[in-house]
This record gives sequence, C-alpha cells and structure tokens, in this order.
Amino acid sequence: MKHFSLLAALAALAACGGRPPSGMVAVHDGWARETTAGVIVSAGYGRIENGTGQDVRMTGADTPVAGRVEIHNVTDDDGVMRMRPLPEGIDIPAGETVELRPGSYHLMLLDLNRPLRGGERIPVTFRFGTGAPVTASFEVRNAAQAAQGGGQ
Amino acid sequence: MTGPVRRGLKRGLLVSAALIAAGGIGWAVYRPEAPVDPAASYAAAVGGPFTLTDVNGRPFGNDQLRGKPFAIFFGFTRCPDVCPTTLSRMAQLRARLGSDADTLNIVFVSVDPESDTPAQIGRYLTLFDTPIIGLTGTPAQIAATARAYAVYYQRVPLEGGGYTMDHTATVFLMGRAGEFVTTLDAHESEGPSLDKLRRLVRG
Ligand SMILES: [Cu+2]
Repeated sequence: MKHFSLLAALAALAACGGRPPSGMVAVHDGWARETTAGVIVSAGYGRIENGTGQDVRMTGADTPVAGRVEIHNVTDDDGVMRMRPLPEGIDIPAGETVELRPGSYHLMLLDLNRPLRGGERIPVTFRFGTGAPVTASFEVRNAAQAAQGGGQ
Repeated sequence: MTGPVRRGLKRGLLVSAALIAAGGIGWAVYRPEAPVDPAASYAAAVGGPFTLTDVNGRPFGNDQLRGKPFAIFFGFTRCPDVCPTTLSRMAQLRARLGSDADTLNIVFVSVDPESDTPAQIGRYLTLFDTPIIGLTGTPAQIAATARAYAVYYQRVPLEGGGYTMDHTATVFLMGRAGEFVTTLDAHESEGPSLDKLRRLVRG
C-alpha cells in the first residue's frame, strides 16, 4: 500500500507539467521552509488536486522529520495575523485544487527532529480520512527561494 | 474606494482606538464619527523610545537606530509562516535597493519573550541571509515597545498543549530620527513596496 501511494505520488509529480492527472488525488510543487539548529518548527506548502470524481477531505499529514504535523490556517484581521489549527482538515471538492501557501493554509511541521537544509527533499504523506494516503517529495527552500517562488 | 485605501483607513481607526485604549491590553474597536486621516494618526501614534535586548544579550535602545531609516516588524521565532514570509520579503527588498541597501536597518522585535531568548533570535535570523537587528526583552519592555508602535499581540494556547501568538504583522518604515513614515502592506506587490523603501532611504 505504501509503495502504491508513493508510486501514485511520483506519477502525479510527473504529470505536473500541465496534463491534469485524473482519477486520483495529487500533490504538486510541495515545499517546506529551511530551518536551523534550535528552530523546531517549519511550514509546508503545495497544491492538492482532487482528480477523483468525489469530494475528499485532507485530514492530516506526516513526515519523518517532524514529531507531528498539523493543518493550519492564517487569517489577516486588519493587519493582525492569527494562525489556527484546522483539526477537521480541509475539504477538497471533486475536481478542485486547494493551495497551501504562505499567509494561508499550511502544514505546520512541529517538533522537528533535525534542521531542514535548503535543497534537500523530505517525504510528506497526506492522509484523506479512510482514503488512500498520498506521499509527496517536498523541496526544502531557503528564505530567498521561498520569497521568489512561494511568496505572494 | 479601492481595497488598500479602505484597509488603510480601517487601520487608522484601529490605531486611534489603540491610542485611546493606551495602557490596556485589549483591542477595543472604536469608530469615531468624524473621518480620520490614517497617515496622520500613524504619525502621531507610531514610534518612540524603547529599551530591549539584542541577540548578544546587550541592552539596545531606540537611540542606537538613529541616523539610518529602519523597517521594524514584530513577530516570534516559532512562527513558521507569516514571520519568515515577511522577513524574507524584507531581505529581498533590501537587496533590490542595490547601493542603498546599507542605508536601511531591518529590525525584528519578538513578542514572545517566553521562548525567544537573545540566542534563539540570533539563530533564527541567520536564516534570512541579511543583517537583521533582532530584539527581545522582559515582558514589560516588550509590552511598552509594542504599545509605542500600536502593535497588538496575544498569546493563544492551543489544544495540543502548545501555543501561538496573534500579532500585528505590519512593517513600519521609520525615518532617520525614528519618526514614522509609512507602512508596507503584506498584500502589495514588490513594485510599490520598493518605491516606498527608495523614498525612505533617499529622503
Ligand atoms: Cu502554523
């Protein structure tokens, strides 16, 4: 099963070039922020495309580098930023894509067991309730790369 | 009215509210009947003396910023989203200033003295690959500094046992004498932000 989801994720990544994958959930352009010694939180981003004909809910995620992963959202209330967990997860309607991006939905990687270095890749497994999990390879980006590619 | 102008106006009102509620921790929403010029209320409300601690554990006061314009931002190091987004954006904007880059100081003030020791802030700021003045302090020193900048912050316990900090994420641009000039809007594109910084460092 694990192998299958990894293969599915790799197939999905290969399909990122433009052809919409169909019949499965795919995670595109996953990335996480670089950290340094003593910094034990990071954030993960990417696009989750629901290519199935049914609504799904992303209910959680895991990565071997973090003690736990939470799904968070950030709201901007007249300049006051509030970050909150979404314990129920995020609904992704059939055929739609939800974007995790800075200042919005993100994966909160907590209790990192080692620093994340720019340029390395980490596996992140997304869970969808009772559905098949999807593992994606996240690129760790340094601040400059994050500002270029992942900013607003 | 366009979005940013409305936002600015609303912020202006909130700043007036902060002034009126000065000393209080709460964030009262006060809406005066008469229209308020947001720039004027910021100019009156934002900035002033503070005493904090730098990343080497030495006292750092507002006087040490005199002579150079600065961009000041409040946040915390266990903030993996808003704070790094803002700090890396500041680093990128400073790089775009080219030969004027050295004319601008970037200042990061922690609103989380519980976790943010001087050493912790020092480590965190190495991630941004540009000189940033990192400051922390006692809870009272941080509260006084935030009040001077009309910055709201609040520790919010989370179910899992941890906590997060709600905080104003506005970047305040301050002149050579520590006077308020303008703010950077997190939602504006690089062009308008860069124009503001150019005017700041050349002004
Ligand atoms: Cu978060």
